[in-house]
Amino acid sequence: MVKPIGNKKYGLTIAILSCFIIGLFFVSFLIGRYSIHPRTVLDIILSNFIDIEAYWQDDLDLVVMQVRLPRIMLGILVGGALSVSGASYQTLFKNPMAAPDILGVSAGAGFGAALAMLWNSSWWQVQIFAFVFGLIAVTATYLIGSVFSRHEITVLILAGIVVSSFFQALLSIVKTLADTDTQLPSITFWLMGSLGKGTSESVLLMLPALGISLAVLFIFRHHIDALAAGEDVAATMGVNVQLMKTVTVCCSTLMTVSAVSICGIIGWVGMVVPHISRMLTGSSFPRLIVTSFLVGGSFLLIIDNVVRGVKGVELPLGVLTALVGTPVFVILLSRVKKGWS
Amino acid sequence: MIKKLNTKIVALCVSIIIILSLLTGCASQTVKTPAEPSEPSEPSTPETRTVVDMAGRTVTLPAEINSIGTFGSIGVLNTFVETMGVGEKICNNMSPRFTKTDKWKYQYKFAPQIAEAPVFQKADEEIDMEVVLKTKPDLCLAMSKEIVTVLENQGFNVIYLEWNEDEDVKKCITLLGEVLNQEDLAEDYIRYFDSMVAEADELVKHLKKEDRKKVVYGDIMGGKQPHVIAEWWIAKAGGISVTDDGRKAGSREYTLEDLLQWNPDLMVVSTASMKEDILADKRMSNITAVKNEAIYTAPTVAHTWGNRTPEQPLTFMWMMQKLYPEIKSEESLAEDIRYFYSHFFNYEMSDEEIAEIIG
Repeated sequence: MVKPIGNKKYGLTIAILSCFIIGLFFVSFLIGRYSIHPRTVLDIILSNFIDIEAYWQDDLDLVVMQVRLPRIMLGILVGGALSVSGASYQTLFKNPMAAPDILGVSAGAGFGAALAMLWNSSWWQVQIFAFVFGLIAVTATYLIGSVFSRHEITVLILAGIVVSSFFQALLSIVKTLADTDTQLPSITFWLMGSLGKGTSESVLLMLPALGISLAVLFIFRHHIDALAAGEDVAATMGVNVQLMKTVTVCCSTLMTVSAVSICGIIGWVGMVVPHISRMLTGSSFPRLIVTSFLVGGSFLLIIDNVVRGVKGVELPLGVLTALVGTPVFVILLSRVKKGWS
Repeated sequence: MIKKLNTKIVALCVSIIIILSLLTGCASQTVKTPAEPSEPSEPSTPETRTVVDMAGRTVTLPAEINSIGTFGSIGVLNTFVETMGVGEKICNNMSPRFTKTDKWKYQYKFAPQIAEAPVFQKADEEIDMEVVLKTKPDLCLAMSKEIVTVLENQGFNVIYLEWNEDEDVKKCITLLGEVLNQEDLAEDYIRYFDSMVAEADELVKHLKKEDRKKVVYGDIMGGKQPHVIAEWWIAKAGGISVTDDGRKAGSREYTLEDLLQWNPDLMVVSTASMKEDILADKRMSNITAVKNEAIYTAPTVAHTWGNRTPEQPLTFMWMMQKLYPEIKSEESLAEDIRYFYSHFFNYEMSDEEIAEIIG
């Protein structure tokens, strides 16, 4: 079992993580092809709120406010969303292997978005398709898992693999039908994952879905935490088990698809980060939700900074998260598994 | 009793399976017979000749080539055949990846018979061997060694073409001249190519370095310049390719910040929709090419002009016309286009078609 920590230590950990992510937010502005002095970065940002005479080139204003700021914001929001989503799934399914991609949400959302792109749909239609198919995928996984065994973790993971494979097959059909010059590159973007196309509009599009989902999960955090002890125990504590399951799945799916629809499929963040967070502040869901958001945001932002910092080639973000996430997960699994067995 | 019956049923099933397997084996052999490797390559006349292709393979060909199958890079291979003036010999339609849009509509004007011809490759690019065996092309053309091996194993006459260096088009044309008994036409094309290069060099030689405009080509939204050949034709047009890092092969990827720093004067994109995406992207609004809306779609006629194609002399002249209209006029470019397709493709371009190509 992951050792619970006291309120004081928890508060200190959250304070450190908050300071870290704020510091990282500002440091990230210094990474990129343009070399900009930290003071200039700060002045450019502040000039949007207070009256500062511009002593920098127009280009720098655009680079800081239109290129780097949305990307940094998206790094934090997407990383946080995927991590909280993973933490919720893991708590709900009582399964350390549960994550948005393992349960088929990403494959379903990716297929939905690709289908919308094949039909040359608008941006909001792409998001709706991604959301609907993400929801269908996770529901199918849960139903298949329930049919064979209500409590067997392995069956649920197998169901997720089956559903993911099914949607990946459908995605392959869509890719075959897609136009190689226009639609296929857009679909391929989903599979690689990138924050490079993020604009300030993308951030504004993502914020409502993320804000509502986080707020709902936070309001019901104690009820969801009770589910981790088992459905029967939660029911005796007065928790409406069915409602809580629905709320958790919907909110987690909404967060995942809102991230996936903007940035493509970014794997492993939703699985690895909750484990790191659990080691930092324990398994309690009310704490896990906060820690996962902060750690996940920092994790993805650091990786995206590496992506942006490598000169000449912009490495696919999804590839790098997998390269970093897999060895970290193997190390963590050996330590955390005792807490789940 | 039941046990005995079960044993009999099992024995019966096993017997049926064995018989079926034998029958299937026989049937396969029966089907395979007409597909014997030697049959498709059977020369129509006893006279044959040998040609060495660009992989160094010695290929025995019939004296006369009457049908040509193109595989893999069908767009550029068809263009090679059409440049040699024998587009009517192409015996296959384009594979599904080329027919999703009307981008390749000129292929059906240059070689109208391909519209009714069989398709040799499926949507996943796998060769539909039974269709190829049935069609029996006298000659197969490919730019992939894997495809060459697959076709060669079925006994087809396959010629491998390669285009690595900027002017390898001349080697390809020379080889095809030999293969198609069109040596004079090959020499004619090479003379034309060299004269166009010389003309372009002459036209831009007085441009000062500071007056030369910066150009970016390719998937600008995705940050990728897909073909090294673009560095060559941009330079020939008197432009400076911002992605030219001296590499000899492959593509080049870059970031949005790279693009902002390069600040190109002109952009060449591969699809018309990308121009709209670029103009709508606020992050690119400070780039000179975006401010001036100097964003053009690379024409696709027989093949995409921005990629490797025998139409390359027209590519750099088109680029020059967009960069320096005072040096290369639209009328002069129109004449170049009209002459090229009339002389090599035996196709007379209408004024509307030329206007559409110039863009």
